[in-house]
Amino acid sequence: MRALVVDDEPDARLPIVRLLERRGWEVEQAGDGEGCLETCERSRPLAIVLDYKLPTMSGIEVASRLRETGYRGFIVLYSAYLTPAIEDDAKDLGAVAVAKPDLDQLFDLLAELVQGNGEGKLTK
Amino acid sequence: MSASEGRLHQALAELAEVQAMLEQERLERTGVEALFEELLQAMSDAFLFTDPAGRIRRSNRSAQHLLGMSEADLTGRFVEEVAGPGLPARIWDILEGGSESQTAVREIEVHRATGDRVAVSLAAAVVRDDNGKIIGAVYSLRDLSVTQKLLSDLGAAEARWHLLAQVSEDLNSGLDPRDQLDVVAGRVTEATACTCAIALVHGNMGKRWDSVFATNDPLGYRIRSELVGTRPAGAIGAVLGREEPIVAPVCAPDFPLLGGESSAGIGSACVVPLRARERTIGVMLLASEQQSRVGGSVVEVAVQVASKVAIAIDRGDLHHEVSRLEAVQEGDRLRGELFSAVTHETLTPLSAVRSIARALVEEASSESDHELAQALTRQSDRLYALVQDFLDFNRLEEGRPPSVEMRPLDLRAPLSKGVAAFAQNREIDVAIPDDLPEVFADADRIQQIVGNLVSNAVRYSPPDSPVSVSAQVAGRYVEVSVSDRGSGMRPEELARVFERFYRGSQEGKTSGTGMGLYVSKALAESMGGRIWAQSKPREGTTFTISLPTAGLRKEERA
Repeated sequence: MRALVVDDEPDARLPIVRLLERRGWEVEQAGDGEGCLETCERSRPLAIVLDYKLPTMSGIEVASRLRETGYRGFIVLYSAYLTPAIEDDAKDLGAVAVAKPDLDQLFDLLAELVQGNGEGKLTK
Repeated sequence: MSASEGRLHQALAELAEVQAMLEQERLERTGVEALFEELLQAMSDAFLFTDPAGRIRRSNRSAQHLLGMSEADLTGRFVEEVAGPGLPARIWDILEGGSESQTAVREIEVHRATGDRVAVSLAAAVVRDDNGKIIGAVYSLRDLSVTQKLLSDLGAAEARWHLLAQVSEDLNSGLDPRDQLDVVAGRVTEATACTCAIALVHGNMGKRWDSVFATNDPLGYRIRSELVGTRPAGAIGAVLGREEPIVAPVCAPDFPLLGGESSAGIGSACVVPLRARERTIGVMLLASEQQSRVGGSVVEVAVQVASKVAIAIDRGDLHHEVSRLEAVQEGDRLRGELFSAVTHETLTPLSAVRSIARALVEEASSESDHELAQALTRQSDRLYALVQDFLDFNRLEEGRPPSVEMRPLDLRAPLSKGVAAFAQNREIDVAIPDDLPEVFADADRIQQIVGNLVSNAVRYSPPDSPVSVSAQVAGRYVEVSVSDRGSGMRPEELARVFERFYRGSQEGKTSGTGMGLYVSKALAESMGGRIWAQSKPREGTTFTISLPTAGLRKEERA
């Protein structure tokens, strides 16, 4: 059960990585969109936790590129800058938006998705 | 010489003396006569002198002018012949008409040579010589048409003055002069017998008649309902673009006074722009259904009242604007105070978090815990520096310098903490010689400044470009530099980089508050140091702070 955590701030990634590891995930990290696409290509994680504000492209752009490259896993847009428009864009890409820093909601959602109960949240 | 001869000489001498006296008296009498004549001619009242029979013997210029006849024409005629039957023609008429030898003053009409008649006030008196013998009569006539015009002019001036005083009082009686415009319109109507309307436009050369105030009469009502809410048009609209009034003493039925296709039943009107401080805020209209009713003095009244109204409204608006700004300023001040107080309150828990983070770093039993504790330290340091920036900024705004706690200090710890807190995911190349002398400074402040400089370098340079921090000795100072390979700054940007809220050409592209460098400069100077920036477009920017070494400070104190 592999996850990829994408955030340009290492200190912001760290607690997510640690807590996911405690929940049985094998976690990889990336600091920007390019790193995310590259790691995803290589290790095909089950879930990607994606920050919205990234250095060169936004989380939505990264999600869109991920879908274009045929990635079918779970994408969770985890950001402090969510707007209804971003949430709609996320839904269009089959992704779920979670407001930073609600870690409980993030982990609950990932657990549901893994158990196959959260599929409904990935479509409009 | 015989005695008789002597007496003769004396008599002659006495006679000559008397003659001289007589001559002197005659001269004096002539002088008086000339003066009297001059006065008589200069009098604005008309004077006629008659002989006992009633024939005119003398007249002054005013009399000749009043009656329209020359002196020669008048002399020798009977008074009633030239002035009509209104005058007491004979001595006995005068004696009969009043007490003693003169008449009471009364108003009569005199006939002029041209045939028309003039109202005059008349006084007549009998003239006697020293012995009481009647030698003639004198008539004094004052042209009342002149007096009446003077009196009516005086009345009009007084009435206008009264109107303007009342209007001023009305306009100043409340907070908003607009509330008084109905009253003002009523007063103008009372004084001029014309309907008065005051129409205001809103804002800058407004699009519509915003509010219309008018006399409470049928024409006033009609004008108001025609104008309210419509776009300014016609003569009344044209006045908005002028400084001078438009006067229409005769309005043709198709004259578009109010903007419609007819004159709206108005026979005469004038429209005066309401101008204050080079702008037109509306118009004042005086109108009457009668033609030629509006003109002359009515226009003058309108212009004077309009000027008072315009100034009062403008002053009211200014007053309103000033109060609004004061309220905004007060709101800003309170918000600033509240924000500052709240921020101050965060310092206590934040300091506790920093201490706990430090304790966790020491207590951590595993590498993994240690890593988390380090992250916590970095982020709480970063938050602490941001809060400090804000509090320092507020102090500077209040004119107080930042507070610093100076002591001899090894720069390495605060430099690496400042770098760590703001490095984010950038690799920062830190080159600090091990034998760097101690400086005399405040550790938290050094951390704050370096944090600000690193944060800046990271934000204003590409994600994969290097950022370096170095320190070197320069005389009895230590210089710490933070360099990036970003886009650099043009000289004009460089000159302003330490200004408060200055964000340069990158504003909007990067985050930041615009407080960091401004506060850093004040902090460096509070510690006896300096800060400066060097930059080249497309090559990058280097910020340097120079701090006195502890040794220098010791020397200075010694």
